[in-house]
Amino acid sequence: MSLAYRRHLPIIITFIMGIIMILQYFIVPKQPVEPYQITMQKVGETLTNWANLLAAFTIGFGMVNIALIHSRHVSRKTPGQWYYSAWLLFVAVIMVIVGIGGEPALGINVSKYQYDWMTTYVFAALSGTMYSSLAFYITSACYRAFRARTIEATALLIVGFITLMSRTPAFQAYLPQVIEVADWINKYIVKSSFRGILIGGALGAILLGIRTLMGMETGYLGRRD
Amino acid sequence: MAKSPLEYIESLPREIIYTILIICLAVPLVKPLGLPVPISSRVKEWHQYVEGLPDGAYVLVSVDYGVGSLPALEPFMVATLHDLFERNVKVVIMTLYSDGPICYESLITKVNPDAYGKQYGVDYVFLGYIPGGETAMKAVAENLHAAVPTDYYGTPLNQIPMLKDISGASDFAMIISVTPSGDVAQGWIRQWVTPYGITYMSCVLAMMMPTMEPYYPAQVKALTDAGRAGEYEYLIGKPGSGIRKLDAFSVAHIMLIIAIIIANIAYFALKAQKKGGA
Amino acid sequence: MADIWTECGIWVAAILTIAVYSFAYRDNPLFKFAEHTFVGVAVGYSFVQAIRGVKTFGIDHLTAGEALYIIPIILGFLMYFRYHKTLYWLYRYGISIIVGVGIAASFVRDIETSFLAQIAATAGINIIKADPAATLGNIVFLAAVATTLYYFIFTFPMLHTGRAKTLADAGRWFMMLAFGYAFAKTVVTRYNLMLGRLEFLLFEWLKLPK
Repeated sequence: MSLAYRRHLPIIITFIMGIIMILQYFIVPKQPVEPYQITMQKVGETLTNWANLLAAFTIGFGMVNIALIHSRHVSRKTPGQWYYSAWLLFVAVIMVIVGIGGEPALGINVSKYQYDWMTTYVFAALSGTMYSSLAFYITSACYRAFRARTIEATALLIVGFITLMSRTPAFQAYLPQVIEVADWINKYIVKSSFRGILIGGALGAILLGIRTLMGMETGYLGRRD
Repeated sequence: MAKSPLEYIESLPREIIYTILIICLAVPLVKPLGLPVPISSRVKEWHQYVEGLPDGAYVLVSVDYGVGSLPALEPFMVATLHDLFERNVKVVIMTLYSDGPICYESLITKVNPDAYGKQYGVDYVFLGYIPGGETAMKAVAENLHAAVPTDYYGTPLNQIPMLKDISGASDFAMIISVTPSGDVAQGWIRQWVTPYGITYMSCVLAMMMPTMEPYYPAQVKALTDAGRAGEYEYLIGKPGSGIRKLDAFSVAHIMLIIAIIIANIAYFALKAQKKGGA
Repeated sequence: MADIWTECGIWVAAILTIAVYSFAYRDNPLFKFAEHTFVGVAVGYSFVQAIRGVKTFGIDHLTAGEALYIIPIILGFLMYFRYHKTLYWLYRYGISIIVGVGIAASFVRDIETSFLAQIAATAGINIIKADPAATLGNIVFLAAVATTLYYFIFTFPMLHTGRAKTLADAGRWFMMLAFGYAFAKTVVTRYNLMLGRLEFLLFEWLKLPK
């Protein structure tokens, strides 16, 4: 019995939701006229909006997860970590307080300046920098690993060089032929290979979707019971 | 045992590589070389589609990037909004990223719609972050007012003049998405292009271009990468951050090409040395 | 007063930027501090957006008279039970709606978008063109699509052995050239990102002339 409402019922709900969306796709035309089409459209729209609302709830998971992990570090005074964890929790709480007071849609508007300050000078700065620091690693990876050891590696290197040259404004201006070569490679080799990968990937995604709706793939349910 | 010069060059310490990279990127930013700015056909095509918008047309602009990729994507988005605001079109802006509103605030400050005589709620509006990813795209396409009750600032949509008569995708002439994510870029095709046939223009990071190429030009009418922001700025006569980066791109790319060639020469020279020694 | 805070903000952003970049040289306490600050601010911001999302897309609907919205609101709160030892299964009801709706909305359209439309576009190619480079290109194009698809057929192992292996090898070669192209584009992307941050450091922090 307990497995019925812990596992089977959610799988049945997934199936029902999926079937309704699929029926909406096949039954409802662009301009629904029949009453059943209008009803189906309304049901589909409502469920889509419900899914979006539930997705909004999931954004808060990170905070809960991080709070659990780092509060454990603080309570156990993990050597070399607990003070970083304490700082993390402090900053997170400040951000939440300032954010609730500053987020326009929430209508409280007492800490808009502070909210903008933290998002611009702390969050945006750190996020942009984290993402951009990969430039270092890709450069050192190119220098250390890009060797023409085999014919395949040489071909990869040549295509890489041509592409890089075609995206270098100096070469674009003074050696425009490299753009034509790169465009040819892009139009006939890159596009075709990625089309093959896309078709194969789409087949896989469609099959995975069907398997999930039929309850054969249950990874989204989390831990096994 | 001390390394030979060839061995040292072949496995150059990463600190030296990083320092050379920073110099090659930073110096041209401060002291531009003044190299010519060639405009690619992709950017011209993008501009032509924007130019071809009829008066009063509604355009959905989706700021589908977060603060992590803001430095790369914002210049192109700024140039696009400059191009749109020069015309008599209605711009509905939204985002599918939770930190998208921060990007919007940064972007709209740089664009300054007031300078074009554009009024919020009449000529442009920001719907804020809509959670759900592809289901959000679907919801907005089917019924905008049911999907998004208020704009970013909490004003009900039926009180916003330009949105009163807008129901969904079929009321839009174009959808523009600037995103680092292939899933998001493809999601717009699935939810807006395939069912409604809306003209779709996509700007992605350069590394996502190959994954989007198969959709061009049948499903994505204009496809370009954010690194071409400088070309777009030059084309529309609104120089900004994009143009400043072009010379730095030149120097850094040339540095990388030379570095890889030197590394390969060192590698083959060492190999020959070892063979000769053996 | 606002100017002092703006200047303060620029210095904080610059110090945090340099702290993150210092990791490229070696791990150090400054980087760890910046990393933990980033995680703290990011989760805090996400939580605020979650509150905003629930209010805008849930509570506002409820107060407007759409009583049915109480169902996803309750299910949404139940989703936080995923961290509970014994009641973790309560979160599955909410996630099953997200997954069911999301997957179906996506894959039914994917059949048309990424499967049928791509096949139609490939089949509709006029191979012979006036330009010999374009004609050669079209032949290469069709060969590349076919051999790339062939490469991924693993159901029948004999397709990757003997003479038949040539087709799979051809697919592999085409993909390798495509990935070489993609890798170069990745370099362009990363440099673009780094230039954005360097612009901030040079022009907003150090106030060098533009």
